[in-house]
Amino acid sequence: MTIAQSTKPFSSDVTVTLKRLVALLEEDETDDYGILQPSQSAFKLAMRLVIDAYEAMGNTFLKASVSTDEQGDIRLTWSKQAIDGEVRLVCPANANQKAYLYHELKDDYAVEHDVTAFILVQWLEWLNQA
Amino acid sequence: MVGVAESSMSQFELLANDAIIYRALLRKQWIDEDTFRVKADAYFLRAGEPGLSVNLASVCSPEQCARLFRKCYGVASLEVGRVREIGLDIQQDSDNHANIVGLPYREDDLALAERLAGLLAKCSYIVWQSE
Repeated sequence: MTIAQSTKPFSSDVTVTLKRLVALLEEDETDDYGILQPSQSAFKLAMRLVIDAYEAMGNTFLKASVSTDEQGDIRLTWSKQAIDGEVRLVCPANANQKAYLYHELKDDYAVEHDVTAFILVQWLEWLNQA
Repeated sequence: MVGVAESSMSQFELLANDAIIYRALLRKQWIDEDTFRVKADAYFLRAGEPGLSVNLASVCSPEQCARLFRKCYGVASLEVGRVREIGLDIQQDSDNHANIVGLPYREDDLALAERLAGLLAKCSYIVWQSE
């Protein structure tokens, strides 16, 4: 699913998330810490997962904080401080690697591999309902 | 007989639990733009790093800590005792510097690396931010 193909009008939270992802591309390629600008494959995967998740969730999709790590992976973080819960999606810089999703609620935590939009939606809804 | 490694380790006294350390926030993305809290992103080991670099509040101010870097977007404060409570430790290696040790590399234990990075973020307080 691309932005042009999306059938839903974008809510403010998904728009904020998409704008934050696009802003990563405007960063310098590197800084003193490592790679700063995400790779094209990380960016495309992050955009696709966010748009597909929004298509499924509608206005229950909450905005994410986004970043790149020193390798050019994209990290998206959804936090719910009131219940000490967090979902983190990491889209790898290298297209040969797989995305993973980390989730935690208080003392319980785990990583899901082979992330699809369906899995992302499951865990974002889990966070919403926690 | 005291070995070289042990000798250099004992050069500095064990930091007290109420000692404060500073972590320089070298990327603006390490600060959540909605909650203004430090994110887990600030606390991952990079390949080859023995520990997470921190400075000692007893010998430098947050501003002095920030000035050690070409670009620094903020300085987070952590209490040594809180770091030890989550199973990590701090090893001082110079008058004003130490490393948080005990974190796994993401390649070795991804879930634990994410967990510990998040716990460190939760016990961090931003004490200085660039304008």
